[in-house]
Amino acid sequence: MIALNNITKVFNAGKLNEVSALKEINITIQAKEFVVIIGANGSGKSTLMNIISGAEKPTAGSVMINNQEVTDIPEYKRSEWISRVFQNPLSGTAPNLSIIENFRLASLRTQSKMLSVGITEQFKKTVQDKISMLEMGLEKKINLPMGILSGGQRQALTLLMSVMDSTEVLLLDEPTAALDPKTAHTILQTAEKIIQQLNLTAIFITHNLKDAHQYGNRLLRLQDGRIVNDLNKIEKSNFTPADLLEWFM
Amino acid sequence: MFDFYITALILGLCLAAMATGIFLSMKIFHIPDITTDGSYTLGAVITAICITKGLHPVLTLPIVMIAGALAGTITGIIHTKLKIDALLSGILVMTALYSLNLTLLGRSNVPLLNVKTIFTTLPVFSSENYQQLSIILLLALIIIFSIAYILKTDFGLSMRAVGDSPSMTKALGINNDTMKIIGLAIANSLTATSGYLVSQYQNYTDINMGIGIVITGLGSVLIADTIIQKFAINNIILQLALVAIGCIIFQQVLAFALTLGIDPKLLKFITAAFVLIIVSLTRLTSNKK
Repeated sequence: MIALNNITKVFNAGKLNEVSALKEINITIQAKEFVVIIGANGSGKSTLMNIISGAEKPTAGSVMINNQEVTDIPEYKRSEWISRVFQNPLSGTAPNLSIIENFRLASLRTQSKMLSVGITEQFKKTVQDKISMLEMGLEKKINLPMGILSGGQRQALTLLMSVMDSTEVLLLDEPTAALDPKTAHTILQTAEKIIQQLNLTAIFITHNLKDAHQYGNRLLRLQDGRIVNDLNKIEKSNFTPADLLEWFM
Repeated sequence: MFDFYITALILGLCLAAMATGIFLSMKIFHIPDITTDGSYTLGAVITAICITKGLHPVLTLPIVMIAGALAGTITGIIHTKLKIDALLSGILVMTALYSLNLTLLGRSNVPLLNVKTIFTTLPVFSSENYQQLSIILLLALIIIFSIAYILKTDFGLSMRAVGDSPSMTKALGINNDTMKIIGLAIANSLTATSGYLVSQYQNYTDINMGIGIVITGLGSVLIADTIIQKFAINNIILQLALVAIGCIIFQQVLAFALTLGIDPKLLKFITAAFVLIIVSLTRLTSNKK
């Protein structure tokens, strides 16, 4: 369970370019909820995501995860509960490390990284099995550097990497914004499968209203740093992508 | 004449530890670490103090390595915790180390003649050259294999990922700051080891011996990097071996310049010019792609 209490975030406070990205946001996200967030550019979606992950500290208010206050816990420690897929496919992977090395690090997200070699034949086998689920043929390329793959391939692998170690919350920050429709579809289908199989709480930011309609069981719309719509599963199913588009007109 | 090149070969291998350190800071963390100039001399200064006091050269090595690691740690803390530019952090520590080194050594030059050195501890060969070469080769191999092993472990993977994709490592529960501090500590510990070796090989420690040494290391790493890029070498042991070979090539070029009758006063000038040539050549050829 994630709870945001009176979260306010102001950038460049007191300067000419002061921006109030979030204004007194109060929201509780229950375990296993799959929340989709939409909103215009600059409405505060990514800031909200960054406050949850710990990449940004709120100006005021508190963040709770599983009834524990985590407002002052830095991002790298919050990774114990949260894993994240970034908008930019290049942010979630290390280009000069091989695919298998990237997966090895991902598998240790909540654990300490010891002075022992962890890439064993058995580990390679496990990773290959997982990668073959994408049906992109990448399981044969695990020793190649991540950097030679396309953005779509890297994003697909990032998604699998995000659940290599036990996790409760999966943050998807426009994961398919930079991808072609077919790859985007594969990635979201895989994400949905993973979220259901592992019973994850998920938060998915998107600009694609079709995706917002199709995925998730709760829909939030942000406008000027406030939550202006909050639809539950049934309400959400009554909206068509065309209805959602009306909100932006 | 032949001796001249053997000397350059041994010197190249002595400096391989430092070049490995530069490889860590420069190629893995993308930090240009100028602390090198100071920690190299620090290694030589501590070596002079310890072995002239009669401490066994083998026991001197861990002390030297810890001192180097401390220097690197300080640079790392200044850079990550005080948020000061890496280049400036290194320059600050290097400058402070100059005074520290001079204070520790007491004077600007200490000869290491008639003392037991790492090269005379275990005499196997009667030829001095072979004796020195075998010892230094053994040490260089130990260093290359241990650093390569560390880089292959889960811990080493985290280190490599920090320089490669800091946003990813933060999301994977890795403290980037701590990793950088540890990386700089290891790098400078290796640099101090080179100071330890060179001072015993040349039989003296000089307060100015570290000036510009970072350029030598950088040049060696760049030579290695050119080969690594050209043949797309992913194997970390091979990469580190190439760094050592880069060091040897670098020293051979300098030796060759000296045999041409170039004034030794111009040696640093030649070093800088040679590094400039390597850098610009790699830039120009990579632009063509």
